[in-house]
Formats: sequence, structure tokens, C-alpha cells
Amino acid sequence: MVYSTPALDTLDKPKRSRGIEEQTPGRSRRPQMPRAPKQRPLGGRRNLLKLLRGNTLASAALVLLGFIAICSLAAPLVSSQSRDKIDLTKQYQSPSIEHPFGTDDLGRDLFVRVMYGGRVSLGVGVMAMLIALFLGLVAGGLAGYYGGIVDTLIMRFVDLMLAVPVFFVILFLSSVIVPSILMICLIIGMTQWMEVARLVRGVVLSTRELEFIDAARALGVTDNMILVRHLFPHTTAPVLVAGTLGLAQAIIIESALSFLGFGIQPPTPSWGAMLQNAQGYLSTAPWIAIFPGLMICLTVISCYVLGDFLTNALNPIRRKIP
Amino acid sequence: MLRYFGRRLLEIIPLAIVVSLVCFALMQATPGGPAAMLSQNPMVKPEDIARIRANFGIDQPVMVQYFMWLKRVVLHGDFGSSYVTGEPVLHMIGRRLPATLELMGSAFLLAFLLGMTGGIISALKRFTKIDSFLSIMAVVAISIPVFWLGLMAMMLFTVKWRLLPSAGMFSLGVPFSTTDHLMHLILPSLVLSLLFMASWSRYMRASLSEVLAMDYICVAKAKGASRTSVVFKHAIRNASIPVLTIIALNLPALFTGSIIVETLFSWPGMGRLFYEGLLRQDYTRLMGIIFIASILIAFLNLLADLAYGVLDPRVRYAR
Repeated sequence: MVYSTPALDTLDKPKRSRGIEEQTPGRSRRPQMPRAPKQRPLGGRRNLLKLLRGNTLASAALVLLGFIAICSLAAPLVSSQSRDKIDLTKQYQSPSIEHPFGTDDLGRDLFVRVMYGGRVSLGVGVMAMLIALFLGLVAGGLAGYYGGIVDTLIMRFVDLMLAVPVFFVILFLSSVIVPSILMICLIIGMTQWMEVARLVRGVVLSTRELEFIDAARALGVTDNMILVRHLFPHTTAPVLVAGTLGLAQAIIIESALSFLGFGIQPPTPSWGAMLQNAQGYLSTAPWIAIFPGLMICLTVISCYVLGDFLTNALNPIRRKIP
Repeated sequence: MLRYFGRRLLEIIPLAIVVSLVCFALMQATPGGPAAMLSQNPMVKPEDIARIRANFGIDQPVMVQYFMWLKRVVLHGDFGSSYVTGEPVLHMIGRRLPATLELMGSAFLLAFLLGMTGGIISALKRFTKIDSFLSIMAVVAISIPVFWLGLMAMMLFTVKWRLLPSAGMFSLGVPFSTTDHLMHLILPSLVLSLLFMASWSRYMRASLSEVLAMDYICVAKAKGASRTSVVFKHAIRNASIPVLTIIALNLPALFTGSIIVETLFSWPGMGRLFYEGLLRQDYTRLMGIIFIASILIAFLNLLADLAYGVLDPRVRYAR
């Protein structure tokens, strides 16, 4: 998994005007107390929203992502045309008012198909990402908390999974199993959890030595409870970031799989599946290739920008992972 | 050093065994194998199927099959024969491997050279226009799926501007010439390399910025070392160590990219061989390719580990 883009440096200049304003006299009777510097990076939702408002790029990404998601969800409401309606009198029409994205080789309206395709692509992406997060949390939590032989076994397995060209295995599996949408989510999720496991293990390793864990243990809280109730909340920040980037990754993998013909099967559209035959129409009907791919790009860029924003917003001090 | 190398080489063996077990488990999960395909055919008699199953050894219990396979691989380097063409898998891979290595090698070089250069420029000119430009380009490049990038590159360079060929390794019907071959190489290798170029340049930028803020750089400057010497002799060497880790982690992704790029550009390499194997359900071939690719990746990772020692003399290959 390529978790790239370390920091766009969009947040390098924090705004500090608020502190000065509060020191103007006469506004309150209370003695002026020096404000404690904000220690907790995840200081509630409001804080995050405030940071988001100050960051145009990240806000734009969130709006774009939301827009794409809503359009996909509302596809049946927005369009009167059917998704798979074949109209051979309207093959290869270039983009027009009637067909904003043009029509494909079977005369189907590409705009409608792109919206419906978004449902599948985003749906598979979210589902696969959730599966990967779940597996990563469980594996990383167990490895970090119990240590010893459990840790060694799980982490060696992670190393092994990272060393195998996983996409070959994904392709193999989806060519063998009849690929239903759920199966594709499972296959992608089961091959993308390793990075999350590493992150979670790192956080759990460093947190489990803290005193409040000892306290919980002294109170007789069971191991599983400590892991779920006291340790997992500490992994929120890295897991949130990994989730955003994992969503982008899952969307890319699904589209690549469908593009090669081993993912979503026709006539169900997904952005990748719509590109499957596009290579043959590059000279006659390039819009068949352009629009679905553009949607993948926009979605993935939004995810990366948001992931970047979250990385900066949630860990001002980069976490060191052992 | 030599002992370390030997030990690491030995460590590949358990990896190979586990990978082969996984491959074998995958193959067992497949419905039927060659016999299943044949049984669809009314012309093939049941006794023929039984004979073919016996020939391929797939009438034996699973564990026996596995050890037979392992024995053949270890003693004779024989990965079995293709279910489809009957040709030994190793031959098939051997014929296709040079093309893949050429494509991946040139993509790697491009990504490495341009990515590093971009990262260094970004880090030296931090927060300037050129840095923001490079950063935005990098984020965009990382977000473009490789197959769509390939499609768009074909559309522009081949269909529209007719500048570069986009299929195969050579022009057909023309005597071989190196320029012709290189022209065919440009598009696929660029398309394959862009993701890595962008990603590595981001890491290089982050890493080099961090190193440039360190005390020893200040000392070097104070002692009167020139800017070039500070950057190239003192900073880059240390900055490239974390980037090397990322490069090693990205190696499997390079193989992944090669499947897609080779399929798209009809490049006759291992990735395309794999893709054809998928279409024809040639399981021995698929298994052989996954196995060889895993070993190659393990070997390249070993090379990356050795490169740590070259970059950082403190790294000792002890024990």
C-alpha cells in the first residue's frame, strides 16, 4: 500500500490572532490567566471544524467528495434515464446538453452510468476500507497488547503479506471466485489491512505502558475491555488518517481490477469497469475513457488532500512508531 | 558483510516455502483445474480425463501433490508445465522476464532520478512557487490510477499527436533498431514510473527538509563548506536513508503496475503473461509467476538493505 504524500504543508502557518484579542482590557473582570497551550490534538469536533474552515484546499476536497457521494446516492432521483438502457441509434454521441458526458458504444448515457458507477466504486471503497480497518485494529491491537509470541507471529505474517505482490493474489482470487460485489470488498479488505495493523500496534505498544492502563488493570478490567475501551480510542487519529488514504487505495484497486475485467461485471457500472473497453474507442469516442477516469482521479485526490489535512490536524507532532 | 548477505539469502528460503504454500492453497481453492475445463467438452471421454489427471498428478492427495511440486522445484527447478500450452512454466517466464525487467528497470531509473531531483529542488526551495507547483503536481500524479494515465497518454501521444507508438516493443515489419525500440519504451516506462516519481519526491522533500534543519548542517555551514558541498555531501546522503525504506516497500507495487502497464501497452513481459494466464485459467503458470515475483521482491529488498550500509557507515551487518 502506498501511503504517500507526507504533508502538503498546508497548515504550516497557524493563526494566532485570538490570543492577543483576549488580552485587551475591559472585556472581562476575571484576572488574566495565561492560557495553557493546547496539548490534546483531538480537542473535539469543533476544533477540527475550525481548522478545516481555515484550510481552503481541505474544505474544497471535503465538499467535492460530499458532492460526488450525494450525486451517486441520488442517481435514481436525478436522472430519468435508466442505467442500462441500450439505444443503438445513439452510439458514440459526443457530450451535449442532452448527454453531458456523451454516450458509449451501446448508446447508453455516460452521465447516468457515471453516477451509478459512483455508487459501486464508492460503496466498494468504503466497505473494503472498513474491513481493512477492522482487521488491522484486531491484528495490531492483539500484537501490541499481548506482545511476545503473539506479536512475533502476527508481525511476521504482516511482513510476509507486505513482501508478496498482493495484487497478483487479488487478481488470482477474483479470477477464481465468481466476483460478486461483496466478494470484491472482502478480497480488497483482506489484502490492505497490514499498514493499519502496524500503525495500531505502534500506538498500543506505547500506550499500554501508561499508568491509566495499570489503574484499569488494578480495578480488574479484563484484557479485552482494556484493549477496546482504553487503548483503541488512542488509535483514532492514525486510524482516521489510514482510513481516508485506505479509501483512496481501495477505490484505485477496485477500478484496476474492474478495468482488467476481474472486478465488477457488466452491465453493472463502476468507474473502472466503464473503462474496460475504452481503449478501443480512444480515437473515435475519447469521452468514454475520459469521464469515468476523471471521477476516480477527483475522488482519490480529495481523499489524499483530506488525509493530508487530518495528518497535520491530528498529529501536530508526528508520532514515532517503534 | 558476506556472512550477512549469506544469512539474508538463507532467510529467503522460509519465505519461499510459505509463499509456495499460499500459492498451493490458492490453487486448491480453484474449481477443478484442467480436468474441469475438459469435462465441459462432450468429445472428451471420462477415461481420457482420468489419464490426464494422472499425468498431471492431480489425482493424488493434496499434501502429496504439494511435496511432489516442491521436490520438482527444488531438485530440478521445474515449476511444472502450463495446462494450456504444455510448455514448461519456467521457460515461459524466462522468455518474458527480460522484457519485464527492462520496463521495470527503466521506470525505476526514471522515477528515482526525476523523483529525487524533484524532491531535492522542493526541499531547497521550500515554500516558493516552484515548490508548491511540484507539490501539487505530485499529489495529482499520485492520485491518477495507472491504467487511466496509460489511456490518456495513449490518447494524446499516439492518437492525437502521433508522436509515440503505444503497443509492443518494436514496430512490425521494420528491421530492428535501437531508436525504434526506445521509442516504444518511452510511454510505458513513463506511465509506470509517474506514481513512484511523485511519491518518492514527496518523501525526499520531507526527509531532506528535516535533515537540513539539523545541527550538523549548521556546523558544516559555519565551518565554511560551500552550499553544494553541504547539500550534496552532507545532507542528501542522510536524507536518502528513510527514502530507501519507502522505495523498498514500493517494490511490490512496481510489479503490480507492470501487470497493468504491460496489458495496456501490449508489452510482452511477465505481467502480460500473468494476465493471459488469468484469462485462460492456467494455474501452474500463475503460481509460477507469483512465486518468482515474490522471490525477486525478496531479493531486491535484500539489495535495498545492503544499500543502507553504503549510505550509512554506522550500519553494521553484525551477528
